[in-house]
Amino acid sequence: RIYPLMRVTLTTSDGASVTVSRQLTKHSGFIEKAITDMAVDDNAVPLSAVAVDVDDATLKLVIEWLTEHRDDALPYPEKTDEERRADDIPAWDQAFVQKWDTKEDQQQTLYAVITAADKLDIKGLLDMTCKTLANKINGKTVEEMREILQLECDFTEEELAEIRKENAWCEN
Amino acid sequence: LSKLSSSVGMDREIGGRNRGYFNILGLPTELIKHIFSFLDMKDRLRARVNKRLDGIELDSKYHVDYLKIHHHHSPDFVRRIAQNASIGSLYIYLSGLNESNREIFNLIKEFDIDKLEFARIGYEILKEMMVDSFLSDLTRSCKSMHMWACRSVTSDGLYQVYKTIKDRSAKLRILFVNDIIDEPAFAFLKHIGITFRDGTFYSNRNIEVYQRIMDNGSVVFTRIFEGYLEIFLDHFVFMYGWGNFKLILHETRESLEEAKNPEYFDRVEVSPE
Repeated sequence: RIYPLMRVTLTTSDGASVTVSRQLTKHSGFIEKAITDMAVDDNAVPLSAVAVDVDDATLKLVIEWLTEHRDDALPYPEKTDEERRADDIPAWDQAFVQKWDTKEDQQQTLYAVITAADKLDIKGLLDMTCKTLANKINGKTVEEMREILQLECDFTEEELAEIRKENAWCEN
Repeated sequence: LSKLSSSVGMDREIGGRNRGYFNILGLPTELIKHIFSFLDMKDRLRARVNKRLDGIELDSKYHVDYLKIHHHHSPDFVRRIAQNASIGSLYIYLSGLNESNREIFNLIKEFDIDKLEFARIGYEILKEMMVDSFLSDLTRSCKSMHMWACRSVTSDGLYQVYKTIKDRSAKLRILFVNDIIDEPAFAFLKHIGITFRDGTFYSNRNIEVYQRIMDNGSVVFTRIFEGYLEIFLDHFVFMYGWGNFKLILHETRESLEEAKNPEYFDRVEVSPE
């Protein structure tokens, strides 16, 4: 059961408090579970404090996304035995993420939102941000991928030769 | 204090030497798997650019709708895919009898496939590799299989597949053999108690036979039903000694009724043996 008028106060890792409507928090498995565990009274509209390990700036982004997606279907439709695709991000979400692209710390923002969506168990946001990252990697060469992810090659010569052999058909 | 140290750790992790990169290794393994699940297969295999990502790729299952396997793929690559991917439709294009092709052919049975199709396959490799035991292995890896007939599949091999499909004891529900040769096909029918002589079917078993008969009286194909199981025979098998052959386990009553649709098929009598 959802009580749309109920408001929830979230305390972030840097100590700020944000109050949001239950209509938004119902999309977060973590917050829903916290509220259920508190076993609040049906008729009460409490200001429950839920501590989340997410910083204030990131939580603002999460709430902005939740506000747009407040009417999304629940439970979130999870696809299991189906090919996943990353090219179906809705236009609003694309624009939402593109706003970060102009910022110097765009990758850190993406990292922080992915981590927050995971911790708060917001499946739609997690999928969307993971797809965004996948799209940055899709179609890139091995060298470009190393560049984007800043990863050194730590394979031995033999391992590298083995991977090259396996990947011969898909290495450009 | 823990709040402070965790945020310092976060800074070190994500604010590192280059502000413009994504610190994928800072994420828990499950999240990296989730990100990998959105990569195209080629990108996914390319993206294992260091040991940890390679390990994560190897350790996570994924699904591919459609895959073609060609002779220019290496057996190592095919093995890697077979290990983790479940495949919607797998198409095999292999010709030429060499070690690499043999190895690839042998790996087909390691896959988890919905629909397996030998799209273009050399006769030599088919004849050498597609023996009864291999066909039986394939019943466990795919739900439907479309293959070309070859001399190495015997009537007993067909019988084993028939039993497997009928008992639902493996994964296979549909076998489609192009250009089956009459001798193993008739021997198989005889093995399950059905014979055909001078245009008449003889059997003591509880079967129904339907035929598609054209206006001029010629039979196009025959469908033999045993409960939900159908044995389909192209009439060329009777006339010229080779033709299409199918074993189908109908999943629903509707599908079974459709296969017997009186608008297209005539029920023909089966005489006792």
